[in-house]
Amino acid sequence: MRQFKSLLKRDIYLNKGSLLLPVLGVAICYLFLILIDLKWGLDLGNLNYQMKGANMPFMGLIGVIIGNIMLCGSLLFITVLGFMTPNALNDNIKNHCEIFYKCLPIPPWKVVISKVVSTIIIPVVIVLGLVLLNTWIAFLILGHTSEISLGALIRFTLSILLFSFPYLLLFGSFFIFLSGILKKSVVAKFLGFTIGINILINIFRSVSGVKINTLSEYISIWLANPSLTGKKIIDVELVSQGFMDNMTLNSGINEVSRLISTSIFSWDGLCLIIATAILLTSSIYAYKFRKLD
Amino acid sequence: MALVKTVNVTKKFKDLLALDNVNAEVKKGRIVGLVGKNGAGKSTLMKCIIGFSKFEGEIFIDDQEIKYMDHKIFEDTAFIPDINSLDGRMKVKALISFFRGVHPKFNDERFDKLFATSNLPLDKKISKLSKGMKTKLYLILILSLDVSFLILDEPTLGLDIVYRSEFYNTILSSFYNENRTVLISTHQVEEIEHILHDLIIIDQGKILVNDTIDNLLTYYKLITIDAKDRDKLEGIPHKVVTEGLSAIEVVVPRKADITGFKEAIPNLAHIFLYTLENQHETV
Repeated sequence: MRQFKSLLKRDIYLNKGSLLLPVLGVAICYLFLILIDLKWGLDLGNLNYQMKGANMPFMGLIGVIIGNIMLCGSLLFITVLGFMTPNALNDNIKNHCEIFYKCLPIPPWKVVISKVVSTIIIPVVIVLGLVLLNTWIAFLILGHTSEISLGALIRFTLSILLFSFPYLLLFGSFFIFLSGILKKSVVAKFLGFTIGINILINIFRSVSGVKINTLSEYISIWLANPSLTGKKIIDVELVSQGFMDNMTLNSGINEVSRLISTSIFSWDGLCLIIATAILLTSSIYAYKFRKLD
Repeated sequence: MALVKTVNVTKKFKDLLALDNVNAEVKKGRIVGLVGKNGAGKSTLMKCIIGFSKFEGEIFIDDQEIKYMDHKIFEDTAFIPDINSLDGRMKVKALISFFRGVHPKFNDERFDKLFATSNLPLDKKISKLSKGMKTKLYLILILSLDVSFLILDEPTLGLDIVYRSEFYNTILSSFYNENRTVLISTHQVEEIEHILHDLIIIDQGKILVNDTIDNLLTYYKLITIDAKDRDKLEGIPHKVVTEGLSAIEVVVPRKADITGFKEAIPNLAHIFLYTLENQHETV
């Protein structure tokens, strides 16, 4: 445990810049809002939304919450998938210290798990804190415009994060694996590979007339419904029905939150976990048997 | 008793034969010098011993066969490579704390003693340290481990002469005892000859000598002869190590039939030069 703690401490120390990126992003947004408020006297409390004649005061609050989730989620995905996981297992090579670490009696699985914790789990925890803070602030400012309770809002935001987490873990593990086999420029190489395959498929399509999707099209289709078993990942009809069947706004939101968060406890969720486990096991072997320069 | 045993170890890099059927032994509790020219195969042999390089043949440490890239070997073996590979992103303090935490055999007491005399700054980033300071820090960290086998590949590269001498005369002795084995490769054999028990000479991937220093010193003699008597060396394996205007110093086998000259005991550098030049001679 002591060894793992030291390893994790080192990984956090070396990644502190990237870990603070979501905090910085949110801080910039707050600064921006404060500047607008100071300049034009923005009164968020008086925001009132009209949608096709229906007065829906709670839409302002829901809009801010969804914006909050999207902002923090984007910052999380950019930090984890753009900066942290693609450098997880090859940063020592880039910094010419691979042999120093390889000469220590540290099992490779501990190295990989420490990377998963420092480059995926900890950013999620940081972003979770930010999301909850933003939700609370939004509720303080806009809460009086609707009857939504803070508990329902928190359950809603948590359900979205819980739903996204296995996907982030899967993509993050994929990039950790790539960082185990590629010594540098993981993201550039991945993008280059995808573009290369797309070009080849496009050439094949125009020459042969066969209708097949490009790699990007396959990825887009999958992202629209990221299921590994073919079923609908979130059944919108079921979610809408769940919302409508409830007597109050809060119980409706709670039901939606429950349906979103529990949708991951399915065969799809299991497939995601298995795929993640395969990628992480492969990462351990890639790291262990990687040739030293 | 052998701690390390290499059996028919061969290593090729494409067309280059880096190690050619190497059979060598490092005995337990000894300080062993591994000497050779640049590109002789010293670093390659060391990397094979710790499992960092794939090879044909077998290597055993303490009767356990070496596996490729097995971290377990470093539970009781420490290695300093010939290039400084400390993590430049960390501060000295953070690196020490990390090292202390990950290595189960870190000896705090010895570390504190060694570090106290080093003048190394705790709050400086490693990338900002001089080459010599980095080497010093690396040596201190490694010598603070209670491991039974220490492998040093050109350990004093970049160090000034004062610290180099201090390292071989006092610092290394604070680590060494009869239960520990040290394998050192160096170009500057004269710097370490007073601490060595055994010597391995390697050239073009082949082991030329693997013997104790005591034995080696009985195999050779250093003679001083007049330059005009040079013809008396004909037919005798020899190596001229010093060439003066009137006299020359020559290493010859002790049993060589050449007498009547001033004799002395050669140093290891002399023996090394003799061995390289007379690879096919037996003494």
